[in-house]
Amino acid sequence: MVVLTNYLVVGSILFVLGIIGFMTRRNLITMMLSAELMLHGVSLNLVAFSNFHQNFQGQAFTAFILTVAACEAGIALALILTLYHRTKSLDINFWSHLGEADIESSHEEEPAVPAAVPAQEFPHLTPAGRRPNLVKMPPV
Amino acid sequence: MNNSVQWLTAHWQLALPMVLGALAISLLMPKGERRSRLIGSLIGVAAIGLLGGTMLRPTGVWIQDTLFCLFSGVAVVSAVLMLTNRNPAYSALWFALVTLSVCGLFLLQSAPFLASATVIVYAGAIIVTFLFVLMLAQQAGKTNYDQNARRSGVIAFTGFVLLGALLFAIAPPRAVADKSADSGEPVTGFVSLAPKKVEVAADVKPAQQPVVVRSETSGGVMPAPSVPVDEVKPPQSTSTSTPETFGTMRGLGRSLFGDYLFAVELAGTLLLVASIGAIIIAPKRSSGKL
Repeated sequence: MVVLTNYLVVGSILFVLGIIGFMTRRNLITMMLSAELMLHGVSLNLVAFSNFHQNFQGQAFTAFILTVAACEAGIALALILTLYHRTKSLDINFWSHLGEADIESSHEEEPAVPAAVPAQEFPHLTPAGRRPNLVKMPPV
Repeated sequence: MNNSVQWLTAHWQLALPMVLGALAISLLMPKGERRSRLIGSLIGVAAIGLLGGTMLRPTGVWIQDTLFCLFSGVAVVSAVLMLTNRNPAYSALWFALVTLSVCGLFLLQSAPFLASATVIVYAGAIIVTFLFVLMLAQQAGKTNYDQNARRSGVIAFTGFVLLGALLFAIAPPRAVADKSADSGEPVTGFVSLAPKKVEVAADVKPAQQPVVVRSETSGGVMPAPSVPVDEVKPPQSTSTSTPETFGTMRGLGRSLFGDYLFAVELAGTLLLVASIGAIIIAPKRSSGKL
């Protein structure tokens, strides 16, 4: 017996989690990952319907979703690199001024920057043997 | 107001996991300084368990049920961890785990080609590209934008309202469906998908009418729309998609290169155009180095 609703439930949960991540996170790359999560939810629905109807239409659609996701990831990452090149940051708030001038900005006053986290102490071995000659290394 | 309170108490099995889930997501989202994630995780586990207990229907085949619970549980939990992680590199790795579990669900739905293609494309290509970009563009140390989410409470609430609406349309909780089935009133759901049975007409030629889907009972609770859902015929297809060939790679290939030939060509062109576009958009070495 084919139980369709289980898969629809999981697909919609993934879709909604993707929406929430896309809207809350501020890192451009995490936002892109959330968009891909939404695509996963949709393809899970399509594959479940394909199995339910015992034909290939849903699976063919999912194959096209896969193609579009690959294109989207390539172009989006190129765009992200360009944006990073301009601002030296992956923060989406740097681009919140692109709207009309008279529309209120969605830029939220963020809480103060958390105080500088003390550097993590890693255990280290006592140096032994001969110290390598670092002076003659070519400049990187 | 009174009606909505009555409705909520009648559908607490749907409403309670939504509230708990929104609470868990907004507690787990990074906000300011690092704090304990224990309470949020406990609430989230409670929401997932409650939702799974009320929403999911067992198939009766225990191995299928076990694999489904395993894959879907791993998918949902790692999706939440992906959203709430403070380090985008870990987010990408959790997303790879989501992809692998979704591929397991694809396998359970007899789509082996799509499962392997998704592993290759997502886990093999997209994740690696994301990690490359992270290494190129991520600032050293902890960044302010990764530590502070935007309006996580409001957005989580809105998202879970949407999820509640979707789940209500897809599958009403089991107790409600059972009650309406016991009372014997003819409820045909808005999308009465739940316990349909697929019958194959034996004497029909596969090229003409491959599958007849007939709904026997329905699990919805909303009043019936005007469209009857008794007989749903899938659209005609030139390739044979009988249940014997379903799930095989041969059948999917016949479908892709028969029914969807032009779309496949278009997809190939799209890939070409996208790769050219990405090369043009990406910053060049001459215009400054990354």
